[in-house]
Amino acid sequence: MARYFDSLGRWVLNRIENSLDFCAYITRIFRSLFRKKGASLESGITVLFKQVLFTGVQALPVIALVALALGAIAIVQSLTQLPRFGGEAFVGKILITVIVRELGPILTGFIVIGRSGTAITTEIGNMVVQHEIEALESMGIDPIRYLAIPRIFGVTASLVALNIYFDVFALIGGFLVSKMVLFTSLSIFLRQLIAAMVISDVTVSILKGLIFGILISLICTFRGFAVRVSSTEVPQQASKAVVGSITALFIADGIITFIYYF
Amino acid sequence: MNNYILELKDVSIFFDEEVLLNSISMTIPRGKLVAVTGPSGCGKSTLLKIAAGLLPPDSGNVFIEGTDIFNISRNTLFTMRKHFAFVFQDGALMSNLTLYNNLALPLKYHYRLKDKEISERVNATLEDFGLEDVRMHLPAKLSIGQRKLASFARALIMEPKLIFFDEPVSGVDSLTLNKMIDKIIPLRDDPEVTVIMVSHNLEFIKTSADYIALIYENNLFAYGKRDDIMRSDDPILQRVLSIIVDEQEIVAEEVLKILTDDSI
Repeated sequence: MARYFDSLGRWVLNRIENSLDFCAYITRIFRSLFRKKGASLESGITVLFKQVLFTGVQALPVIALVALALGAIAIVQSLTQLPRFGGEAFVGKILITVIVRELGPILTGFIVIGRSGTAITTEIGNMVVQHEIEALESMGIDPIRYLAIPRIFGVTASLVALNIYFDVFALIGGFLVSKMVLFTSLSIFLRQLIAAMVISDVTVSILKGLIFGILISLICTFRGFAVRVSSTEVPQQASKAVVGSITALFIADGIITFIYYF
Repeated sequence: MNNYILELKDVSIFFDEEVLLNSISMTIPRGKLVAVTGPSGCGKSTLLKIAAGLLPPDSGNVFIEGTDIFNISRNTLFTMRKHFAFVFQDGALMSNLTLYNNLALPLKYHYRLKDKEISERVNATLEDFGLEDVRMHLPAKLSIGQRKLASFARALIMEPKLIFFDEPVSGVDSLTLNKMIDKIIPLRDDPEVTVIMVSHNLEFIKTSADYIALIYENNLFAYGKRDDIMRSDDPILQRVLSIIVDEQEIVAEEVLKILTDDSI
C-alpha cells in the first residue's frame, strides 16, 4: 500500500513539475518575443520560411488526399443514411458542421503533429545532444528567439492555411461524389453549402486552426528542449510530444465547441 | 578598470549527490592565457562551462567584468555574450547550416550588417583558417580537424574579449594542431584578449600558457604562473603533473597499438 502511494505521489509530483516547466517555458517565449534590446527577429526569418515550407507547402498533397477522401466519405454516408430519416435537406449543413467546424481542424492538426511536430521535437532534441543549443547560447543567441519563436509562428500560420485548404478540398470531394451519384450541378451544390453555412462556421474553424497551431508548436518545441544529454531521450520526447499535442487538441476542441454552443 | 576579467567564488557542483567541483575560487587576469589542466574526469570542462555561464553551479558565484552572471536576466547574459566566445571540443557547429552560414550566424543575429559586409568578414576569416574550399559544406562533411578550426573561426569572427577553449588541440592531426597553435599564440600575446583553455596536453600548456590551474580530486590543487607551477619543488604537485603525462602516454600507446595491430 505504501509503495502504491509512493508511486502515485511521484507521478503527481512529476506532473506538477512538468506543468510548471511548461509554464516557465511559455513565460520565456513571451519574454524573448517582447525583448526590446539586442537582436532582432530578422535572423529567425529564414527559420520561419523553412518551417512554413515544410509544415505548410510540403504538406499540401497529403492534406488534399485526406480531405478529398473525407469529403467523399462524408457525402456518401450522408446520402445513404439521411434519406432514411427524411433528412436530405440537411446534407449541406452536416457537411459544413462535420468538415469545416470539426474534422477539418482536427485532422489537419493530426497531420501537422505527425509530419512537423515530431520533426521539430527530434530536430531540437538532437541539437541539444550535439551541444548546438549550448553553442547558440555561448554566442549570445537566444535559442528560444532563434529556434522556437519562428517555428511557433511558422506552424501556426501553416495550420490556419492548411485548415482552410483542407475544408476546400473536402468540399470538392463531397461535390465530386454528389456529381457522380446525384448528378448535382456545381451551382446547386454551392447554393446548398452557402445556405447551410454561417459566418461563425468559418470563424470557429479558423480559430481552432490558430489555437491548435499554437498548442502543437509550443508542446513540440518544449519537448525538444526537454532533452537533456542522451540521444535515447529524443524518441521518448517525440512520443510525449505526439501524445501531449493530441490530448491538448481534443481538450481545446472540446472547450471551443462548448463555448460556441453554450 | 579591474585587473581581473573573470572571478570564480566558492564554486561547487554535484552530480548525483557526488561532488564534482568543490569550492573553487580563482581569478583570471585580463589579457592572459590561463590553462586549466588535470587528470581525466576531474571536472575541467565542467569548470569551463560554469565559468562561461553555460552551466549554473550548485553554489558559488561567477563574475565576468564584475557582473554576477548567474544573477542577471537571461537576456542581459545573452547581450553580454556578444563579447565572449566558446570553442567546443567537438566543434558544435549548426548541423543544418553550411560552414559559411555557421560563421555568418552570430553576425546576422547581433549586428544589422549588410550582406556584403558579412560576406567579406566571413570569407576573410575562412581564408585565414584555410577553410575557403569547404565554405559551402555542411559540418557533417568536414573532418574533425576542420570542424575544430571552423568552431575556432566562428568564435573569432565576433572579435571576443574573452575566449573559452575546451581541449583545442586534442584529437587533431599535426597539420591542424599547428594551425591551432598558430592562431592561439597571437591571442595570448594580445593584451585585449583573455583566453581560458582546458587542455590535457602539458607540452602545449608549457609553451603557450601564462598561468596554470591544476584541478585534482575535485579541488583547485594549484594555481599560479606557468613557471612557478612547472618548476615547483612540491612533490605532490609534480606527482599530479606526472599523472597527466602518464594518461597522455597511455592514450598515445593505445592509439599506436590499434594502428599497428594487423588483426584489426
